[in-house]
Amino acid sequence: MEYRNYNTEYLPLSLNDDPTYSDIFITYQYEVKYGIEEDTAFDLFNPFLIFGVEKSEDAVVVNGRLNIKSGSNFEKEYRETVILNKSKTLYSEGITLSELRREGLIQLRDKIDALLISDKDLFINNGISCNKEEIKNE
Amino acid sequence: MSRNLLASLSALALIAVFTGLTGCTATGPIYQGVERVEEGKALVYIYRPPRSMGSGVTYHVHVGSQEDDNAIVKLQSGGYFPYIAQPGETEFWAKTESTTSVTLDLKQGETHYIKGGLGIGFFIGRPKLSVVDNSVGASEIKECVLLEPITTEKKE
Repeated sequence: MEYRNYNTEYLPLSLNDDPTYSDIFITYQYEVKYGIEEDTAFDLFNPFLIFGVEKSEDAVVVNGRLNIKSGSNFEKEYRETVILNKSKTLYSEGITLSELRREGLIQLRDKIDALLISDKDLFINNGISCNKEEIKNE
Repeated sequence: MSRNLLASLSALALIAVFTGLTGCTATGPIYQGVERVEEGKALVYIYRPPRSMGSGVTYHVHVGSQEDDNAIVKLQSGGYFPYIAQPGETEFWAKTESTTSVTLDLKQGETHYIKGGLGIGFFIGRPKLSVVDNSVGASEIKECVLLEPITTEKKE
């Protein structure tokens, strides 16, 4: 399995890196983009902020791609995107962008996992055995 | 007499507010990119463009877990700091009355830019760290000056 990031917590749980099955090639990669909205000088004089009105919003966009190739002609690719936002008020900044990133990567993992499970029959038909926990070549 | 006193106090308050809002920007050598990064390491530029609003508020940028007090630079308005890092999933964070943090997957030979800013807080400005595209970072950092790293002695 090819995974160029570091934290294995973000890998779809259905994937199992088993070197004995050398004719299956799995590539999983993700990209995280941060979007941040800055406070403006106008906000200093905005009386509504006192009442907890939102002053700005940050976002994290996570794109993921999973590619599965087997030694035969089988190839399947999944692409998913997760967008998470958080709003900020005078009283609370909400969770940090690091926490939002982590939540996004976990959601991405779970979405891809759900797709893998729903495509279970497809993998079996192409000689790749599946159960709820793993995908292996038969 | 009391009117004069009131006027003096108002002036002092205005000066204090103005100083807090504007303060001063960093001084030091003008930006110069890191020419060579050690083999197997990543480079992270941490910078804060000079802005008039909130420049009087500075904050420490830390690397690693929030349980560890591993401050690497005191980020002032108009300053930058090149941080040579080990590859890996790495968190950068700062704190005043609230905490801000961003996490990067640092890979060897790569360069990243983290931009610092200041948001409106209840008692004091709130630090803001964000990851910007390299093209944006490379352009904005040119107006910044080099900040000194925080050494162990300074922390104490």
